[in-house]
Amino acid sequence: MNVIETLLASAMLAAAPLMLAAIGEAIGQRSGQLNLGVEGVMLLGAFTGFVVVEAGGTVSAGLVAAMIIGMVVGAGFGLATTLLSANQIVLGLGVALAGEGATGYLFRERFGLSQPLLDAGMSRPLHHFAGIPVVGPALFDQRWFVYLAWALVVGIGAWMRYGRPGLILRAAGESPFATEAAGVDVQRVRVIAAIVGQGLVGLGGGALSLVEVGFFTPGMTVGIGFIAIAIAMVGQQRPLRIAGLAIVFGLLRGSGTAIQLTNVDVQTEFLELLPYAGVLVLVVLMGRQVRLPRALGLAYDRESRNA
Amino acid sequence: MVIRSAAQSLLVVVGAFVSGAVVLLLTGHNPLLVYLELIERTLLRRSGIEESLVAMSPVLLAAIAAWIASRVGMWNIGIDGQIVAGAVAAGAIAPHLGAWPVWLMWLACAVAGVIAGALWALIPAMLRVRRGVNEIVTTIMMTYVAYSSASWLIKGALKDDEMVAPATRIVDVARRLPELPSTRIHIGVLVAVVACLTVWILSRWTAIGMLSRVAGEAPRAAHRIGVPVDRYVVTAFVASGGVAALAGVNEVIAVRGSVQADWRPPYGLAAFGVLFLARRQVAGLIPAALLLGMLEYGATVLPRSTGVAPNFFPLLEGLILVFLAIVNWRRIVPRGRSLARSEGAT
Repeated sequence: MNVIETLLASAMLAAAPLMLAAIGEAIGQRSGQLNLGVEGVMLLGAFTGFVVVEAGGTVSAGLVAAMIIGMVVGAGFGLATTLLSANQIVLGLGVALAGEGATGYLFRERFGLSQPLLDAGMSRPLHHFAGIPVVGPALFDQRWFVYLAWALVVGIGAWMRYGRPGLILRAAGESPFATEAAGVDVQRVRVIAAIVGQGLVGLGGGALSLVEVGFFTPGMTVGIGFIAIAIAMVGQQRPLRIAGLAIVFGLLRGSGTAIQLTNVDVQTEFLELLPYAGVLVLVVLMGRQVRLPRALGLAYDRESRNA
Repeated sequence: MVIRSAAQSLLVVVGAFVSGAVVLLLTGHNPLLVYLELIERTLLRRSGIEESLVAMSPVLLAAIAAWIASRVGMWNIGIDGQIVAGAVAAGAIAPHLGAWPVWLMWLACAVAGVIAGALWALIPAMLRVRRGVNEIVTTIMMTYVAYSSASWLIKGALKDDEMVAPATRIVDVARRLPELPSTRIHIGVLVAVVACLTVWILSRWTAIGMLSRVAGEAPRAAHRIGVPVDRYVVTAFVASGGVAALAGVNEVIAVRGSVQADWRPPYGLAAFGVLFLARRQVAGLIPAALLLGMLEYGATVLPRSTGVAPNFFPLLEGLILVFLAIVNWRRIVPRGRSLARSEGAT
């Protein structure tokens, strides 16, 4: 593989966990919930998946476990922000911090300072076509999970756009009181959205440890969870746009490795800056396009009337 | 009123500690022993009280920063980045001021750090008022930009070749902030407390304090009566970044003497725990920050004496935030501006 092929292939791989997490966050945002805990939920997913596989489970079992832990946290988040009117921002920050603390703590308690690696072989179903120049390895030499992730992106995109549930979801985030008046239980919609959304975030975390790298370290997400929140906003909560932005992020992150391969003398730390600065520039350039549901972040309280 | 608030905050802390106890039990530790050890090491020893106060100072500065931004209805979630910006600025100039009198060096470091932190906060503030970009996302991204540019600078231009781990050139112990007579408490702790008092006086007895509150809680009304809301928002946010940066300056001229390339301050999220434990009352920030300072110090000594992994303490801080959010009593967290629009933007 030449440099460009490597770059494209690693970008596609790095994009998968991020786009799942960002789309999960987008589902919550559509329903009117801003969950800043993505980083913590991703770590919980990554850790849970890692523990399952390390204990002898299959990679699929690990990914399912990662998704389930995400759904559990999502259920808690959804119930707390609706029934108890918990503040979404504070709760999200708490989830981010507690998730990072819990996974770091449990990892250190169980593995100490050792760093077990997983031998998580995953089949590459389309690798026969990988010989195509330039885009071959990126498109066809990927592990099966990457194709599953894309299937989810397209499926969720169609469901959000064309189905009645997608309409209800958006309505709950734009105008919860009108939605309630139309006979929809807004709190239920938000709880379900939180469960499904955070399930995807957990799955994204599992993909990070099990598919992309094959190990877990405390704090391994290094901000990917927060980047997911940013691209969910910039991508206007639309799955296909989010996936596109995730690939841009993957390219920025992969370009560091690619540039080093070409022997150009650049400091690696400068290259680490690229993805974050890139997302920031993106937010600035597309700032006017950032569209947030009108009731985002506000607890929906049936009894109050100020919306 | 005060007693009731304090009791409710105490309830939150108890809730977090009880949940933490469950985690400890499940991982084979005796929570009672761990908590007793924490109390013994932080409250019952003179050195423990002093070290807790030292650990309180950056948490308190970060909490003041969070408070100032929340006063104008903004979320400064990039405090850790502003701390790093301040620390790098101070760490970059401090070694070159070896010939200066120490007090002038400290002042120069503080000024440089505050400017760096303020600039770091200025970008999200301008984006918010000029382009309506939500500050939560931009401050978080600015933090990661700060981390990677700091390690780029420290491993490159600012590297001290005598040190094994990449770090800025170390400030001699003799030239660091002095400690109070026969204690471990350095002057930086007092600076944090004085900053807290200053903010309290400003907020309580000046027109600026009053108008900033109006600008934060009722921006449209403030606009009608001629308050330049945007200017208040930007000024407060920049001040918030400047105060946060002082915590980074302290790290350089008082605690460690240099900035390491991979330093990731753990104060930005803890600051919100302090902010809401104090129920957004400036006077409450000090006791709340002291509690978190005790946890920070506990994380450094308890692993050795009890075998609990240090990551347990961030978990406790996260649980405190979770409980604070749930037991919101509807009032301590501002209902806030709609995240979707910015009323300030014209």
